[in-house]
Amino acid sequence: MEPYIGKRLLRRPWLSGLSLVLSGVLAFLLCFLSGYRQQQELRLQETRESFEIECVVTDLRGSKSSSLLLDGEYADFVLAEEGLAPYIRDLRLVKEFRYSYEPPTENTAGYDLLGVNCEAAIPAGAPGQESACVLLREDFFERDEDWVLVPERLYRELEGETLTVYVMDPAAYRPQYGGKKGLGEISFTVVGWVPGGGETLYCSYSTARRLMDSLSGKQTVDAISFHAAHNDELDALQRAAGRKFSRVQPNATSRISSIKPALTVYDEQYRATLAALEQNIARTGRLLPAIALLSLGAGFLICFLATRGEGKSYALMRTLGMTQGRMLGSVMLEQLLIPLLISAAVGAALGRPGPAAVSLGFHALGALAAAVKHVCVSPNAILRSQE
Amino acid sequence: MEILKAEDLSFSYQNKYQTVHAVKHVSCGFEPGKTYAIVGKSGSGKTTLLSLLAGLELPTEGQVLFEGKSTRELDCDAYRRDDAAVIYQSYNLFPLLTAEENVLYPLKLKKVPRAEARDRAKKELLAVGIEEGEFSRFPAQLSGGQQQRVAIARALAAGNRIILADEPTGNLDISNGEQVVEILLRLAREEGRCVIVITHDMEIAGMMDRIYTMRDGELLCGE
Repeated sequence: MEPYIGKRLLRRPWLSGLSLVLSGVLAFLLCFLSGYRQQQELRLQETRESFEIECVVTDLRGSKSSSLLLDGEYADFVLAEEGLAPYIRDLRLVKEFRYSYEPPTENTAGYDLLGVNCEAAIPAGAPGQESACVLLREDFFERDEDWVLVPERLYRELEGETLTVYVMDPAAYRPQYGGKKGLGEISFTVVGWVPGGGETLYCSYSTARRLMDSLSGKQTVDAISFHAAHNDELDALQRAAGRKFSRVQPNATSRISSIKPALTVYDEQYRATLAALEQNIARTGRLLPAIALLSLGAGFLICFLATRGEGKSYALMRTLGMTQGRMLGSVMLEQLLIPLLISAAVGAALGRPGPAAVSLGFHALGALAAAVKHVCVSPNAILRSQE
Repeated sequence: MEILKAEDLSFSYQNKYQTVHAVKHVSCGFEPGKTYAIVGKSGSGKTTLLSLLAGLELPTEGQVLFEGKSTRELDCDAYRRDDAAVIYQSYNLFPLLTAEENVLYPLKLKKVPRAEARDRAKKELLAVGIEEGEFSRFPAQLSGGQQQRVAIARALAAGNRIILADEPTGNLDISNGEQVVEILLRLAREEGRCVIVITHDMEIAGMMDRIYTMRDGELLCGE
């Protein structure tokens, strides 16, 4: 340790205080902002990777997303590798049937029987429920069996019995014309339940396909929705979707709207989030070098103020036999002791030693620039000044 | 046996207008235990000669020999730290250090153990008439005479065998000046140090063992 550095610092309290405050504040700002920037970069990466961008097939006007009664080719297109499959995940397909417990008449409204390809396609239950359904057969969605999920209340009533209902496919069933096409009596095995009340039944989409074949001979789908698989390929997804789906046209006539489906990609929030994060990162990207430069300036200023009136002391040190290198080291140590301690404390407190070291480094560069002029003093300076 | 010797010493430098020959072919010797005065008018080259003897400057011609070794070959920083101490007219103490710390400073540079350094500093401060109650005073709280005596104590504490003093009484009143001269004479007679004093006060010069007179950079005579 060079002689009396601590005492010299304590005996210039205003300058040491200035050094403490400036270096502390700048180290804190640099640590905080670099941490904030890193956090924003992580959020950006996380958003790009895992933000769920919902894509929903609607009618052309974008006014409804269920009961679309679309031709089966749309579902095939979505599932095909040369269609949308490479760009999507969490595909949800819903085929809507109607059912009744008695043979239906022209006035029978019936209840919904939905063919779904996954649990996510079942509407969410009450808040707090872990899953949309309880399955006794885990392969329910993969199998083409006469299996059905019923409301919890009905499940308790049936107690393991089969459920026989009349199923109607709206794609072909026209009761007003007295036809029987699209209608069939089916006995389902109950393999699970859906929490809550209501009357809606659920079968697998594979089962629905078979039912469509047998009831109407026509494949249709009533709701298609999915998430974008790769958020950075939204444009490619929309280009691929454009081969089969239109963009939403709110002013389309209802007749055209019912024929031509549209795909709506709900990416506004995603794009707004990305833009906000990128803006934050860019801002901190500009602030960080500015703060580093401020550290440099602070180092220069404090060292300049400290060494400005010390020319005689430095010359005296040289006269007493201190080498120029040692004197520069001594002055730098005196100038950096407080910033070193405060930067270490700030870096440790915020868990960011790197930016704290950068702040100290810039402070040191500034101090060095100010010190060199004053420290490079001839040992003969005192005698010359006396002459 | 001369401890310090100037051989055909010359020093010149270039100022804004011309080359100044501050010291011209000076030869002289200095022995331990003796006191020397270098006298002359302002601008005669006394201070330049002192800076050459202290290793603060290197001669342009000739050489300064310390114990037979030229200052060109010596590590001049080490020479000043260990062998040649300089005392100035304007005291030159560290303003942020107390009287005691100023004396301890060169001892710390020499890495003298703390307890020994404190003992030596105390002894030398008392020897030059600084009382213990004044050890913790800062230079600004001391009189000019006290500051000069602290500066001398600093030179003494380091144990350097050569004391080079540039007008050491120049800023002091008669009483303080006499005290300082007495201390310098005692250093030579009792401790065997070589004391070289630059002065234009012929009364002080007369108290020295030998007087060198300088005029226009040349050493005229040694009495």
